[in-house]
Amino acid sequence: MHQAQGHLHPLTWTIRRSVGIFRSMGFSIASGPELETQAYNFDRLNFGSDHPARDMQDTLWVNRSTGSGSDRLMRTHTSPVQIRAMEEAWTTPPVRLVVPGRVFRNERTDATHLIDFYQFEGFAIDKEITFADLLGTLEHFAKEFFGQATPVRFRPSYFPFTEPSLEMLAKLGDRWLELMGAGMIHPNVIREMGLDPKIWRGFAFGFGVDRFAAVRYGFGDVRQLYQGDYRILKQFPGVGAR
Amino acid sequence: MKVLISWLNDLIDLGGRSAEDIAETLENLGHEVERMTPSGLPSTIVVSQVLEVKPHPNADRLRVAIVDTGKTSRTIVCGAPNLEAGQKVAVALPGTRLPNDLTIEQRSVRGIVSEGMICSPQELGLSEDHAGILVLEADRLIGESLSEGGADTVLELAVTANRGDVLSYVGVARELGAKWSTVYRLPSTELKLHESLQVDAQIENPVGCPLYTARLIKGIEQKNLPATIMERLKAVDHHLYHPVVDITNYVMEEFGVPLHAFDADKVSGPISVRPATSGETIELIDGKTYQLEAGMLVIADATGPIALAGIMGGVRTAISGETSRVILEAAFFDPSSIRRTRTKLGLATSASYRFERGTDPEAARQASDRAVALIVRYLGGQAGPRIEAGQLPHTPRVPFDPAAINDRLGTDVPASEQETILSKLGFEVEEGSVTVPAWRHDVTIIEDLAEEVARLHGYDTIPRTSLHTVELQSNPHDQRWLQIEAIKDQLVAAGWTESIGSTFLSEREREMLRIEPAELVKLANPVSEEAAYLRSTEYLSLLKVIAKNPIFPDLKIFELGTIWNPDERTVLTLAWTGRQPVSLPIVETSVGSSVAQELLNQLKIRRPVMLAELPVEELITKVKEPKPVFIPSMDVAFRPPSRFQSSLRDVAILVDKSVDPQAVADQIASIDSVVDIELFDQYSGGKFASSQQSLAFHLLIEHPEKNLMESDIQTVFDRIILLLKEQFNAAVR
Repeated sequence: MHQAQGHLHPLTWTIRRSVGIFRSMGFSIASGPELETQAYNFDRLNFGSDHPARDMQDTLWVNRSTGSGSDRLMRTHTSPVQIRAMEEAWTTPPVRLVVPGRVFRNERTDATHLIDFYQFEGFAIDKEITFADLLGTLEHFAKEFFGQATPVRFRPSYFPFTEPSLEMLAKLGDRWLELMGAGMIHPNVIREMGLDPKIWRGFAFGFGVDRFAAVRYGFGDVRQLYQGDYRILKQFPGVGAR
Repeated sequence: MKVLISWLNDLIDLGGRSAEDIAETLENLGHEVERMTPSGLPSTIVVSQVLEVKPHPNADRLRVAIVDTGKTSRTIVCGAPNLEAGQKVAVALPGTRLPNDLTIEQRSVRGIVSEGMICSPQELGLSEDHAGILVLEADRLIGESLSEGGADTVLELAVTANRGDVLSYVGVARELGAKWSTVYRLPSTELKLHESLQVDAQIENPVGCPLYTARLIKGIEQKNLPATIMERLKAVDHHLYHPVVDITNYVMEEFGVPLHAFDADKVSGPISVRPATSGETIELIDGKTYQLEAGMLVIADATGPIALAGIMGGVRTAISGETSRVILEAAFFDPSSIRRTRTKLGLATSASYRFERGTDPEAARQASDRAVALIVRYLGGQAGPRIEAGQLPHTPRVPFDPAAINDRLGTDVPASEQETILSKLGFEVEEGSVTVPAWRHDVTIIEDLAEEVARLHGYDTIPRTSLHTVELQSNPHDQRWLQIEAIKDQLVAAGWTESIGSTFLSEREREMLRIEPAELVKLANPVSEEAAYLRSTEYLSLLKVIAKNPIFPDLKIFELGTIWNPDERTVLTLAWTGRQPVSLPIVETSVGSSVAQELLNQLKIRRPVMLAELPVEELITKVKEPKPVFIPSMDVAFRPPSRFQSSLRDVAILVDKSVDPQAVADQIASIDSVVDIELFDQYSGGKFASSQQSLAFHLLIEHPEKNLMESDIQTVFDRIILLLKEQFNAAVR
């Protein structure tokens, strides 16, 4: 009698698939803390301290035991790891890294919004990387993930840490859905990494893993991913799944 | 930013393009259209001319009007006191459904048949005025729909935080004009001034206000604004307050510059712009009194602050029905200063929203002139010249190198084309640099110019190239990830199921788990009661999963995630039903301790559960050479479960050894309501005949639209048994 297999969580499943696609393009993994500082989460990513861009990501602040106010927060995105990774001894450019990780937002939860969820970040730094390389890389990823026939398009957007910036949309079923944000890393951020922006360029991208899973597998409500319904969990196989 | 297409059409020739086309163009320029809603009054409300007015023979307070509605003339009974022959009025034809849901029909009123209704502003949803009918401008065309074309649309733009310049009709027209190579028109600012009307102001320019203008308008009368202005304000969700205030809102939408009007007769002494001193207070028009901090920018008179600069006006000098003299302010306030003040006071307004994102300093002058032109034209009065203090901020020059731009983008846009794009956007192109237009606070470096070139040229024209191939280089983080995922794979292979639960604990949950608050990291601004602390254990999320799945007999679940006790740590936590410790792959000893009955009761778990927690750092050291982590190459065909409860039932049958269990499973699957089948036992020998085998299946039974009753489930079961007997000669055990 065979031992019944257990199951990987659908988010792990989605992350593994994404990691696999980027690994074949030479991207290895980096990681960072979930409880972050304002410096790594905002300041060093070119969010000016008085800029309305800070309103784009509602923050969960953490109490400090001393002092007034709080400069510790739950990271609102995985982008802080771009700076942290480049501070490690083992990163000298050129660099290709992906960062799957948990992030946190001060939002009212509903069918498409969560307080804590997963993002998948990635960035590449080299001497001659172009915006066209970014578009091509993201299109390749989207087609590997959703199917080779998936139409993909891009439109301009805004993030403080990239310039130019973009949003990628894919046509899934009969609807165009926004899937991820990306852009050429802003020279101020390249400088924060300790690199000369006249020599080094890069691109960065990020997407919500929960949203990908919801879109891919037809979850009407992203909260289902965290509610532990075993009828859902048991549908995602593990090692050696047939 | 809400864009009413017919209003936009005043500033730029839309060339007959549909709302959808315009929306697509804006999105491809980087301005997302969140919503498109139809707008405007029904097309059966038409501009008409009153030809004649007679008294009603049978009713003292009513009169009978003959109106020309374009195609014919109609008789309409009307009670309004301000009805006069010669007026242009709005007639709702029979069949029209008004905004208040009233449907107009032809009907007899005291013996005279009335063929429609002459409307008041209130009936048209424009304002509360129901004292008389709405009188239209004399130059309106008879027979035309009151609402432009009748089929208007509002595009709701989600403008990004860096593009304050698009928060106006001028800004939107400018973007479209650049893309379509079409010239846009500024709203008319033609006006006649009375030089002797000098405003009493003493303005030195404090930090936070690079440019301030003010002027005096006197002799303002109480009149209604034209229907078009009122309709447009309503269409973009502005409330109507007072005609002077409504005009300032209208001009704010046009130019993106918030204006403020003070009742000049309530201002004592010269107005000034200055930082508040600590301890000053001001009562604003929202009815609240605010304590000001030193440095917050205020407009003040001799008595004290009269407005919170760029954010909201004070009550003392507010415009009212008695106002006949106005001081009109138009300024450029420093974005950071406005943002700091409004966040400290918790007061965000449509004015602060625009100032924070950077308004066009030069447009402040144009907006002031425009507002005056509209006030004098529609409300009467005379206006004096603008006095100004400060100066327009210096506009930066940014290096411009077309080759470098192509290099960054990976494109081949010719230099001449790049120059054309930038000049259409208002940049002054010189040799090697461009001067940034005053309304663009977001362009400071060449990378910003690259974005302008790319978005106007079109992101769809940019090639999609690949990175060159490189060999994967691992690193310590990468190694750690592989080791952690290898642990998960081993657990899954041993029958464990991964769960992911909430990072947070509520106050109630903390009590339930008997954890002292001092042991936990607390959120400073929890969004709800549910998220008060960072969890110091994964126990609760796992127990919740067990509580949620009572129908599944043997649950073995784990979570490998982050806790704070109080430092951030990665732990592996396992929970399983039963009373037996388990031996895990990797760990030498068996683990597990029982969950306290009290906790099980609180979570409504009706069976024993064991828990174990293992620090991940230790486990990783035992994973020397991680097996390649399982990367799914194919995908799962996921079936969302029913919103209703499912039932798990077992069926065990005896069949011939030659029968394939998959064939049996397939047959069972054909029965409605059976959504999942799992073979959990296959056995031959022992007490069974040698030609026979025993097969046992878990069946998951559910219905998408209802809870299945016991009798329904029994019916399903009977059908299965019958089917298996027929197909496989199976006997139920």
